[in-house]
Amino acid sequence: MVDLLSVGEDVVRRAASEGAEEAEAFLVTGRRISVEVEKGEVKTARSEILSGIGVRSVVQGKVGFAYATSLSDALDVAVKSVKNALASKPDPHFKGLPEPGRVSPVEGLFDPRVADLDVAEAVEFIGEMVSAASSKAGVVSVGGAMSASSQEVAVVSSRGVSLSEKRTSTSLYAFVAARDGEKSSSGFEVNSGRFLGEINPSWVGSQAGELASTLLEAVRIETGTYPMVIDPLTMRPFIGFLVSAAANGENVMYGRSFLAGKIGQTVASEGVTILDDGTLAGGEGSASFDGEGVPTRRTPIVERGVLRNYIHNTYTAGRMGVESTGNASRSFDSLPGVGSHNVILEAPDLEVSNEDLFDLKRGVLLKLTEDRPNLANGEFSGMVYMGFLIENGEVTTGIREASFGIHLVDLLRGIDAVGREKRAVMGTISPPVRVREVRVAGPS
Amino acid sequence: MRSHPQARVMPDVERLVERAESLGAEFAEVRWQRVESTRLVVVDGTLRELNTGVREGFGIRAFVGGAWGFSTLHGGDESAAMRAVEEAVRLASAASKLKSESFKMGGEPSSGTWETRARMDPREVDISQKIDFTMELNDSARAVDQRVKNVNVAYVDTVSEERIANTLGTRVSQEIVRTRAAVQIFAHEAGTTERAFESVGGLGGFEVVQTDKALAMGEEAARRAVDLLSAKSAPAGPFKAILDPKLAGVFIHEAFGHACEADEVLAKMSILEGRIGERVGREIVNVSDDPTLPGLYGSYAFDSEGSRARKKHLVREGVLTSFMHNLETASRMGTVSTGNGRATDYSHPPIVRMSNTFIEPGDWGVEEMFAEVRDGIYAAGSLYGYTDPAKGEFVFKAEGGWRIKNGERVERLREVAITGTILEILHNISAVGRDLQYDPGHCGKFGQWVPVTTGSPHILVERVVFGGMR
Repeated sequence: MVDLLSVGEDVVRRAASEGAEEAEAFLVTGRRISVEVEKGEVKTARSEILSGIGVRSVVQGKVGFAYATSLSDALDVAVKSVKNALASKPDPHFKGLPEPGRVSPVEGLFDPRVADLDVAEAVEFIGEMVSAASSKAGVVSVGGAMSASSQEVAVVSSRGVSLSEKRTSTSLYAFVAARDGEKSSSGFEVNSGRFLGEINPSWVGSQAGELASTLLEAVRIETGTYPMVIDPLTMRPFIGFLVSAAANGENVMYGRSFLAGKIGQTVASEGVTILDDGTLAGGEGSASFDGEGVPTRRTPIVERGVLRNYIHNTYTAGRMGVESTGNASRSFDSLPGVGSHNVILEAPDLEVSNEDLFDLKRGVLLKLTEDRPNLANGEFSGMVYMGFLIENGEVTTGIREASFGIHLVDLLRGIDAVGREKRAVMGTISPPVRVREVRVAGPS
Repeated sequence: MRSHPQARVMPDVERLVERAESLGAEFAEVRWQRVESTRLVVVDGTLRELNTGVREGFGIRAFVGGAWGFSTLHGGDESAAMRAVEEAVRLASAASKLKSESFKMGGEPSSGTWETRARMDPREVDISQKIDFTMELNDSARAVDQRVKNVNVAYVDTVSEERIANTLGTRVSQEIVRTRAAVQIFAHEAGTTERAFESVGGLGGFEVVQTDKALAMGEEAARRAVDLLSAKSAPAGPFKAILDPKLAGVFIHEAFGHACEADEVLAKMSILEGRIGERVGREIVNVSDDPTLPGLYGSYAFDSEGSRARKKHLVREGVLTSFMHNLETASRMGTVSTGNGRATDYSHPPIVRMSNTFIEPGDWGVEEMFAEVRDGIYAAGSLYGYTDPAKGEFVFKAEGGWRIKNGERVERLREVAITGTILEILHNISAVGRDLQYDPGHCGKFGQWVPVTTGSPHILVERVVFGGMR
C-alpha cells in the first residue's frame, strides 16, 4: 500500500522548494467494482484501481493547480502547480489555506465487506434483484447495476494539515420496463450507503418492478392545482438542491442563488427544519473532514422555517466573513468546490400517519422527477417522471404526460404534513412530504 | 503522423490484446489513452482557477460466454496493464456465469491514424493568451449593463492521444484536440435574479474560440440575462409553439436520438424497437447523426472502438430508417457498427452514443412560422433535457421564451419545462426552417459524459405541453 501521507508530505516540500509559499496535496487511492445488468442478465463486470493526486500552490497571492492520475508523477505535479501559480493572477479574496482543525473521527464510514466485495458476490446480489423485479406483472426488461468502492483520501498541507481516512460506499439500483399491449411504463428504485447491510436487492427489485407494473395503468390528468405528496426517493432536487446549490456559499457570494441575502427570512413552513450534517455516524454523505481537511459539522440551514446558514469552504467563508462549515467538496482533478453532506428534513410537529398524509380528495403522488429548480429565481418546473393520482385518500392510478411548476420557497412554505417514516436516499434523509398546492399541467 | 516535440513512446497495446486472447477471451479490446488538459475559470474578473493535468491509463475489455469484463488501470505501466488484462478476462468469466445466451462478436477490422488539424495547437499557445481571452469575455459581459451581477467564464482545452487494438485486428492511433469556452451570466434587479448561458466548442485548437461568435458570447449572454429580468412565469398546458434552433436541437437529441441508440433497443428500453421502416413523423422531418462534419464539437474520425465515423439518416422524410450501433449491438443485430461506440475516456467501456445529431433544414422562413401562430409560445435556449425511452416520454428545459399573440411576441417568459411523447411529437412538427444552427454540449448516459453537438433550424410544433406555473 502507498503511504498517502508521506507522498503528500514529499509533494508539499517539493512545491515549497520550487517557491510555493503555501501548498496542499489532495490524494486518493482505492478500488471500485461494479456489475451491470441488461434485460435481466449480467452484461458487464468492471473493476477499477483508483488513483489521483491534485496539488494547489500559492505564490504571492496567486493560486495554481495541477493534477495527474498517476501517483508516480506526484513530484512533477507539485512543480507544475507552482508554475501555474506563477502564471496566474492574484486573487484578492484568497485568504490562505485552512489551519489544521480538531478532527473527531466520524464512526461508520468503512465496511470491510464492501472493500473486499468480489464481483461474484455482486453478481449474486444482482441475481436476487432481477428475480424479484421479474416476478411482477408486465415486466419485460430489468436493468440496473451494483457497485462497491473503497477509497482512502488524504489531505496534506504546508499549514500542518495531515489527514487521511478510508471510506466505502455501495449502491444497487434497478430500472425496470413494463409493457402490456400498447401500454408501456418504467419503474426505478435504489439502495445506497456505506455498508453492505444497507443493500437489500430483493426489496429494490420488487419495488422497482411493482412501480413499473402499477404504472402501466396511467391516466392523463387535467391541468390544475393539486396537493402533492413527494416521496423520499426524489428529495434530491428539492431539499438536496436547496442545500447543495441554493444555500451553497459560492452561489450565494456571487449572487447566483435566489437564497442570497435571505438569511433570517421565512423560506419554509414553520414546522420545517433542514440541516446539513457531515458528522452523522454511518451517513452516506458523512466524513470526518472535508476536501481541505476542515472538520465537518452539523449546520442548520433552515430552522423552523427560517433561513439561518449557508454552507461554505474556506474560500467562500473567508470572503463572506464567516467560518468554513466544513463543506469543501473535492476530487483530485480540481480546486475545492462547495457541496452538501447529508441533507436532513425534520418536521416533528407536522408528522401524521400515512393514512392522514394521503387523506386527500384529489392529489398527486410524485415518486420521481429528474428535473431541478432554477438556481437564479427558484422556480421549479419539471416532469412527473413517475407519479400517481390520489383520490379520496387512496393512491389509485398512475399518471402520464404530466409536468409540475412551483417556486421552491412556495413549495417549502406549503408543507402542511409529513409522514412518520424517514428514508435515506443518495444523500438526503426525509419522510414523505405533503405540499398544499402545486400547479400540475396535463396534456389537456 | 506529424512529429510533435512531446511525442512519446506509446505502449504496445497489440501485445496486451494477444494476451487476452491467449487467456480465452472470445473478443478483447485494449485502449490506452493520455489526456492533457488546461482549464481556466474566471469569476467576476478574478482568475479563480488555472488548472493543468494529465489523465493516463488503460481500459481493457474482454468478452467471454456472452458477458463482458472491463478493467481500468490509471497510469502507463505496461506490466500492471498485463495484470489488468488478466483481471478483465476473469471478470468476464465471472459475469458469464449467469448468462443464458451468447452471441459472436463480429465486425471488420479497422486501421488508421488520425490527428486533429489544430491551427493553434493548445500546447503551443501561451497560457497568458488563454487568460487574456477569458478576461476579455468577462469585461465585455460586464460592460453590457449595471444589472449584470455575476460573470462566469470557463475555458477548457484537451489533447487526447489514443491507441486502440482489438482481436478483430483493429489498430487505430489518433490524437483528438478539442477546445471549448462557456459564459454564464446572472443578472439582478429588485429582488429578481435571472441567468443566461452561451458556449462555443469544437474539434480544433485555440482557433475554435477566436471566432466572432466566440468573442461576442459574453455580451450576448449578458444581454439575454438582463432581458429575462422582465420575464413572467410561463403558462401551463398545451400550446402551439416555435422552438429556436438551440432548443429544437436538444429536443431532437433527447426526444428521439436516445431512442435510436441500439443498446436501448436491445435492452427493450426503447419505444422505437421494431419500428424501422415505420412512419414516425411528417414528411418534412429528416434527422441525422453525423460525426464527420468538420470541426464540430461532437466530431471524430474513429470512435472509441476504432470504427470509422460515418453519417447516418435516422429519420428520412418522416420514416425511421436506422439505429446507431457500436460493435456489440451491430453483432447482436446482424449489422455493422455505425461508428457510434464512444467512451468518456479509458476508464469507461465504449457504449452507443450520438455525435452531431440534428434536424435537417427545411424551407420555411422564421417570420413565416410566426405568422402561423395566433396564440402560442416561442421557446428559446436550452438548459438540459432527458428522456424515458421505455415509456416514450421526454422533457427538456427552455432557458426562456415569449408568448406569441397573432404572430407577435407580446410577453417575455422565464425558464419552462416542455414535455411530450416520442411517438407523437414528430407528427406534430408542421414546419421546419431553413436556418440550421449547431450548438456544442455534453451528453450523459450511464455515468459517461461525451462531447456532442445538437443542431436544428427553427421548428413549428402544433401542440406541446408546457409545465408552467400559471
